Amino acid sequence: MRQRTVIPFGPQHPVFPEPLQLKLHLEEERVIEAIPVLGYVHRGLEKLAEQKDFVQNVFLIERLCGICSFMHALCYCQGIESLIGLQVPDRARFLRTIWAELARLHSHHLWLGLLADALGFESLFMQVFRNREIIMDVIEATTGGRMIFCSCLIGGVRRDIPNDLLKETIARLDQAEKLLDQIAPVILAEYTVKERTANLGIVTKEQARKLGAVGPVARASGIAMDMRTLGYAAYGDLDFAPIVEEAGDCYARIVVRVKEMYQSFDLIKQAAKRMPKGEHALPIKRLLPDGETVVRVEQPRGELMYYIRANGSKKLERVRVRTPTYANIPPLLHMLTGAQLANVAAVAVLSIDPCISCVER
Amino acid sequence: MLEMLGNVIKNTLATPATRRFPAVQREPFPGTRGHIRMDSDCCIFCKRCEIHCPPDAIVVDRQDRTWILDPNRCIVCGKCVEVCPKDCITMFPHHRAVTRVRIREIRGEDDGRGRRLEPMATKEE
Ligand code: SF4
Ligand code: SF4
Repeated sequence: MRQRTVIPFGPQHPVFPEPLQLKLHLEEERVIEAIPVLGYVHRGLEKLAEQKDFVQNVFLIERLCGICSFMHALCYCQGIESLIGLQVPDRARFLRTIWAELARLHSHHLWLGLLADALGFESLFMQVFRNREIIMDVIEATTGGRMIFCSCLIGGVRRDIPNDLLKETIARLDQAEKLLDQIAPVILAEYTVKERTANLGIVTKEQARKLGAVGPVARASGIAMDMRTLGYAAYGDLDFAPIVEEAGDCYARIVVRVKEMYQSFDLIKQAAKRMPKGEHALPIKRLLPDGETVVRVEQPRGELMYYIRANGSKKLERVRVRTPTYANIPPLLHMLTGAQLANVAAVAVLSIDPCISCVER
Repeated sequence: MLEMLGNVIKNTLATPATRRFPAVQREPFPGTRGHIRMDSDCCIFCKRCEIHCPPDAIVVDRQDRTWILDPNRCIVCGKCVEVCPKDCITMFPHHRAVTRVRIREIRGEDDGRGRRLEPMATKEE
């Protein structure tokens, strides 16, 4: 019998800054089994959310994750709004859509940069991050924060984007899209990228369904699952279709995300064009949430689910968060089984775009 | 080949994409949430900011007439700016350096007719 070695991948790893640990059982260079070890950055935010009042919780929930903070706030606010029976003004719905897509853009840029870096493609990493900086500037100019937007509020949004700023935003995004036009073909057509990612970590459609994959991982395996089709915020009024690839390998996941970046640019432009006039927030004076609800939104990484139970008082009874990375860990383990050690970090792990601070809350 | 030559010339003549940092500083956008400051002159010590602050960064004492902010706890969310009835908290776009120093705003006694007996003070402790 061949000898087995166990290599701990993480919690500190140069490729992947977040504290995910995978215990890789190896037979020579091949991974036989991968065991995830979670819990390095558990902060007890769900418990804390039961102790603050439901309006303060928006600020807390946003800090669950740095990359998709807006999506968390959006999901939570939608849940509370459904519990207190509040209809958000139209302008707020469109503004939420714009910010949600900006969050997706900067998240996908981050991921593309990290992937390029992991593949050893340093100059591409720099190019992607230069492009990302334009998007971060747009975010800062419109919301007041680079990472934590703080712009979602129960009953609407906290600040409006005036029309001239909106125009400027679109002009800047056009600039970013042009730069992406130069970058995207490089990553998609480059021989070395294809060679390293195609036919690797394959998850078939059935497996993806069985393992509960969500987001780009599911879509790269041919499942047209995109929570935005539920029509929350302004997505019901915009034209788009989930981006689906059939191959199910790492390369397909790259293609899905790159196409989604273009889709985000397009959605922002559509939303800006159809932006209705009017107020952007409603007061929630003396309304208290009661009952329980489940809300789902599409994060950059997949489906995010909130379960909220309220009892008619200011404090919530339970807030449960199910993040997309959590759902994507079983598919990740499946991808890793049989992979070469050299491909674990660069290709397999990054292709699910994990976000551990979301997972452990 | 020609394309490559063009790129080489372009890259030789182009300036870097980054800022020359210590010489050129990045200016925040006007609406950026950088740090908050309180003007104790108009504060009525109503405690609204204390009640609404999500991470409990503000402590207001009506008796002592003090308003203490722990900048290390403050997440610069701007909630206190919104709720203050007298608009005496202001958001500034520049970031403060991280510090453990607490900012204590004390308003001196006045004689009840608006005349100040003691000056107000901002202490960092
Ligand atoms: S809300 Fe304004 S007036 Fe009231 S205590 Fe705070 S700073 Fe003073
Ligand atoms: S900005 Fe937010 S965290 Fe900071 S003191 Fe005001 S309410 Fe508290």
